[in-house]
Amino acid sequence: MKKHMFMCALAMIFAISPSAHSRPVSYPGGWTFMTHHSFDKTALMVHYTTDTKHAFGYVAEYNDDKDWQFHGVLANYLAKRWNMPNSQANFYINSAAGVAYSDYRAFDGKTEAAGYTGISFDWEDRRFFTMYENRLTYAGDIEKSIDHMARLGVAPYIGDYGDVHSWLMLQADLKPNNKQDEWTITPLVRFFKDIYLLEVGVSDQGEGLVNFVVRF
Amino acid sequence: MKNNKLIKTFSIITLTILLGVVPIGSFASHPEGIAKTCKVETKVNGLVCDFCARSLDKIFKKQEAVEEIDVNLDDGLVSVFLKPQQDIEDKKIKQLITDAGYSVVSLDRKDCE
Repeated sequence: MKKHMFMCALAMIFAISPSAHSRPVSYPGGWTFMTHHSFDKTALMVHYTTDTKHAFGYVAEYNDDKDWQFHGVLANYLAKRWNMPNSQANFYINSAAGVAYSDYRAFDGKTEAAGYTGISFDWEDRRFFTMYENRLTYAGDIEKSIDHMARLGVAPYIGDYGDVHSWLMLQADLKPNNKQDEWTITPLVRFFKDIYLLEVGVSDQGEGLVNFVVRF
Repeated sequence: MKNNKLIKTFSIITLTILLGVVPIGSFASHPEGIAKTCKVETKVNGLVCDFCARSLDKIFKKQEAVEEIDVNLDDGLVSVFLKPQQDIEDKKIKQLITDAGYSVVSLDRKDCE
């Protein structure tokens, strides 16, 4: 029992959600709407930032790999921000709790209490971007996994405030429980203007990636 | 006779133009108009991303006294233009910038009475 609790605590420290594609915590009073589609998952998130450190909302995910879905309440926490003269770095803890449903093979119509938690770290200046995030997912018998994701990006040009900004990025996913390859590499392009952000890419398995974020 | 009429017409046109242009010229040298707009220029750290900096726009535009804001990503400057006869305390501006996710380095008021 103690060992189990220790493992859970350890996982809580070293895991996080995929919501860090944009800021998991926005500005006080701000809403964020996100859709995410990649080689193994389609997700929708809506969150509201209550203060400079916290955001709460709803997340729905459909996991293609094992044909299960998750619906939950999410809570994101900005643990630390470093504002430097020419760069910024952020450290977040992102979690969600809810229910998982699966009709995959023996799980025919099974529902389980489920949740995830994890950390993310990002650093960027006006030319370069880097981030890492991980996520522990627990959905009873349906799913137990720890996933990792990292990104490197470069801006081909430096735009002014109000311009269309673009980034060329390389995303690496490590999913040890995945039925397919553990590693997936996805080159992608990020565009943003005003309150809209769009990411489009294709993985080395030929699967498309599309992320869309709007903040208002 | 004909020349006199021509001279008279020319004089009237010239006078009209002069009377019209002088005030226009005076106004043009003060584009802010009669009531000057107060500009509060703030140097901040962490201002690197346009998408993230939209929070500044959203937060400041909720303030009754704010006319417009301008963000300079190259220099890390946030310029807040206040409506005529309106003001916000420096402390409040610093708080709003902190809420938007940035750290204030310095604050300078220009054309503020």
